[in-house]
Amino acid sequence: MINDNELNKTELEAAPILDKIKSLNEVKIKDAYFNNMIPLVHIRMSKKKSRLKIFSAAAYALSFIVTIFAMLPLLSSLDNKEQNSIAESMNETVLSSGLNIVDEAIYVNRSDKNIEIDFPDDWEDAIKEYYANEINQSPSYFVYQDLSSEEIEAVYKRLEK
Amino acid sequence: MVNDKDFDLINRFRSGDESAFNDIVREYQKIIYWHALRMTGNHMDADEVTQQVLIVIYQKISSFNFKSSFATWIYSIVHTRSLNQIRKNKLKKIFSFDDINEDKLLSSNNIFESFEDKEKIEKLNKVLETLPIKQKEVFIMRIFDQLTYEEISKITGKSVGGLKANYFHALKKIMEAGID
Repeated sequence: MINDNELNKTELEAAPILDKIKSLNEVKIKDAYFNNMIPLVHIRMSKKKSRLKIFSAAAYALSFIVTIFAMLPLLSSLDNKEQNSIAESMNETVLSSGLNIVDEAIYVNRSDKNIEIDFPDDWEDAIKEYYANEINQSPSYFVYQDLSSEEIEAVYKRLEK
Repeated sequence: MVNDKDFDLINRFRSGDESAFNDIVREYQKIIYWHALRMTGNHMDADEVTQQVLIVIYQKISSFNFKSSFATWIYSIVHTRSLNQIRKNKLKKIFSFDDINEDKLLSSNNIFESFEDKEKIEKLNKVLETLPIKQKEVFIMRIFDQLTYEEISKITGKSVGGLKANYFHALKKIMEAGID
């Protein structure tokens, strides 16, 4: 800790040299420099603003791209879920409405061992695959299920039309 | 704390009068420039610091809380920016092969009214360069800006005792070195 008296004493001793130093500071700067300061600062601020705008636009675009990439797996899983839910609802419809849906949507030509399925053209591959799998796994699926032999014949006749 | 003129300028600017900022620039630009020049030691850096400080004032004036004087608030911005500029220069010196000082000396050629003035400033900078940064800051604020230790303490965030010690050592060093 410096004693105040000691500091004042040193300041007094240094007075002549401090006066010299102060005199070195007595210089003049051209007025033009300070006169230009206001427009200069305004120009720099507007440049900064436009740079900020560019940066924020770039940051926004980047965050948008990142979000899209981050959401891709989610979107594809949603898509799968949607397709599955369509398939499930179709299945339910098939089961509930029985022959009508077979008549309208899927044409099944069944011999004893082989099944040929003719799907409508506008059906998604995933749905086609789903139904093909279901029908293959269950031989009595759709047309054969709980039907009498007369009824099966009737179905075939309708299918042949 | 804040004088009437500053209070009026600040309130005018805050209420949307952009011309008040120009008045603030006219009022404080010389104080800012001179402090920056003494701290950094050359016109190029002082000019950069001055412009930066004025932009900061424009952006942050709404956060000024009237607890200190407006000048003290401005000094603290100039001081911080000057120290940042000095640090930047040190880094540049390490990574650059060119002589940066030569460019900076050339940049000040057209600023001073006379050649004698330019020589005086160069002499002054040589004296100030002999001081470590902690001694230099308190020396400049005491001798040229004529601030009290309490004001310097508010600006630098250092204790009054520490500032006095640094000022004492600065005086001793300058007396030992002398002026040509």
